[in-house]
Amino acid sequence: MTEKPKETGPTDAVLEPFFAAARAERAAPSAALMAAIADDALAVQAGRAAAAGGGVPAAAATAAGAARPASCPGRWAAFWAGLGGWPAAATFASAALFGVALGAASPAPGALFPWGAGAVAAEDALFPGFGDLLAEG
Amino acid sequence: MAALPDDLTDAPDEALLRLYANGDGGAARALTARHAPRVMNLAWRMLGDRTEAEDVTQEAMLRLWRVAGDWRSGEARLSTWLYRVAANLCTDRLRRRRGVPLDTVPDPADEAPGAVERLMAGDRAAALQAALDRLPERQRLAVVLRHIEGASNPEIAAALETSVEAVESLLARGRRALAAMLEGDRDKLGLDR
Repeated sequence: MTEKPKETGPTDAVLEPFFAAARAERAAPSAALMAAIADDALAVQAGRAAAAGGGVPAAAATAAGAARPASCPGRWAAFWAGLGGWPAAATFASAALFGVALGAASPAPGALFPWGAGAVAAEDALFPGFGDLLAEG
Repeated sequence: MAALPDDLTDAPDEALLRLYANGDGGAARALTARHAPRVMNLAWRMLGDRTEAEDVTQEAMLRLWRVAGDWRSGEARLSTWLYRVAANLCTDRLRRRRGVPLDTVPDPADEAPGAVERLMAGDRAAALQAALDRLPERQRLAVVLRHIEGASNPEIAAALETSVEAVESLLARGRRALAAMLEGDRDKLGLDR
């Protein structure tokens, strides 16, 4: 991958001695850093093995802003999570089921609301006038 | 680090990554030996700080370990991917530094803190680093990758997520700026005009 750039003009002639000096002077990683990187590698490997053993796929971490070389949670997954995921779906399904059951049973007036029609009448008394507005168009 | 077997030392990157994903710790050491020094050097040239460069190197390699199991063969060169990760990490750090008074406005080279000492030491590499520190981030990345790391223009384009033409433009502007900053120092640094 290393490729010595060709000089292409007077600018490169000025700079090449500086670049040559910089190429000769490299910041080598310390032994402690190399050991830390190796430790990280083993820790990730162990975590992956543990996750695989538990039947859970290892999460693919991606670089900030870097191309994703691997499959990763997509937009739908994020959208689904934003909606609340499975708990929200279960709540919604329960509510829908209750509505269907209510419609199918067609209970007699007052059967579901034991406080009776009197309460509804009292409520009307609190908010008078809307029926009239509707009636007048 | 312990010596690596020849078959690992010579193995292609993707093969090593696959071996690592399948539980081979030696493959991780081979990849570290091959790529950590390059990432470290790029980060050091970008950040001008060894400790920060080490942090970036460790983080970039950690991200490599995490994607190893899901790496798609042939989709990206591992070295380019690592350069891209390191470049993004360096850019993040450079942006976080903004707001620190010393970094807000680039001073002329002769007045920049630290530049005088570097030039007085007569170290061409240090003089170049002082000039690099004053280039815009993407120009600096392109120049370091091309002229110090020896990457090709298409590789740089992939690392910077831009076109080859844009890389050529970044390089041309970067070189012009560096030449303008360094030309006056050639005498002091023992270079004939």
